[in-house]
Amino acid sequence: MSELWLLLILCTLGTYAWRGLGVLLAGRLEPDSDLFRWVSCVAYAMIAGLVMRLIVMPGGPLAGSLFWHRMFACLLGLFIYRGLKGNVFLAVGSGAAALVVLNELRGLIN
Amino acid sequence: MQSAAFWRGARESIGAPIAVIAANYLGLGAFASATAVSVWAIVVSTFTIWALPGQLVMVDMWMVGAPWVAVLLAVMLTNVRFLPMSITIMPLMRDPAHQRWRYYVTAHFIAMTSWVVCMPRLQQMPSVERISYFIGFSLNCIVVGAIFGALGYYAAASIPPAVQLGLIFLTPLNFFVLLAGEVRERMGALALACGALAGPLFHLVTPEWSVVVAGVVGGTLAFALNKMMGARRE
Repeated sequence: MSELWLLLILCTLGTYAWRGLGVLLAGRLEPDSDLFRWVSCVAYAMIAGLVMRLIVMPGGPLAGSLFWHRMFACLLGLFIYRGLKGNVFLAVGSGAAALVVLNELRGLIN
Repeated sequence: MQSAAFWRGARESIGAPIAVIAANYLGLGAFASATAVSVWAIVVSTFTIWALPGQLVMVDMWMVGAPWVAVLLAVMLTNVRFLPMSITIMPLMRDPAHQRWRYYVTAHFIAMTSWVVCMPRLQQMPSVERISYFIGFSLNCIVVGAIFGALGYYAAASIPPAVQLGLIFLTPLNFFVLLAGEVRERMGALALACGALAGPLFHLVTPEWSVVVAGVVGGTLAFALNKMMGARRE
């Protein structure tokens, strides 16, 4: 178990390294420059890439659910969010509930 | 520390974002209880790592017995997004009243939720209040995350696996809805679209490097497209 704690400390330092390096570099970049705009594009693309990867090809417990079920849940959430002018709670709740229900129905049919 | 701004941040974090964090960590805790990972590792890592996808990767890989160098590398590559996020949010925090070390403390609190939610909010308050607001907002999220992580760990037996699935899915779903639902300007929309395509694509080619490569390639493509479109309109 102590090995896990060592790993946890390493992961903590490794994760903070990115955040701290950001502070260091931010002082050298002009916020109204093309370089800064490029970094901001990379930030959004990284988040979008990671989020889509978790939706399209998840690991862990989600790997057992169907791609189309996850996609349907996302689009339902977005649809509700747009329709109800920014109610994240309802949007995300219905999406997740839809995935659970679809997944259970699949289990019943098989 | 501006205590009024700190508490305002803590108060204003209450709502949908923190509810999603609570549910997410409930899911993470429930998932972790099925592994050899202790409840303390979940609680402590929520305070020290504070990145749900990274923590999920850590627990998942630890469970399958991956070598710890591989786990560290995977966690770092999943969390590389904090570098551009930190670079872009830091200029908002700047104020002559702050000493330099404060920025380094503030950086620890950067995470997807606080970045997405606070970027527009910070611009609407005096710059001297922003660090306190941001830390108040984030710290409340962390505490709630840690509490619900522990709750999920102990309640796992009474949370059916089907529901655990829904709880874990809240992470990507929440960001999908927030990002796709709130994007306003062209550059941001292009970056999200290019990243969304590049993420899964590069995961097929190089799973361990996918976040880095997809971010740089997708972001560069979006930046270039935005430049070209801007030039054409003039």
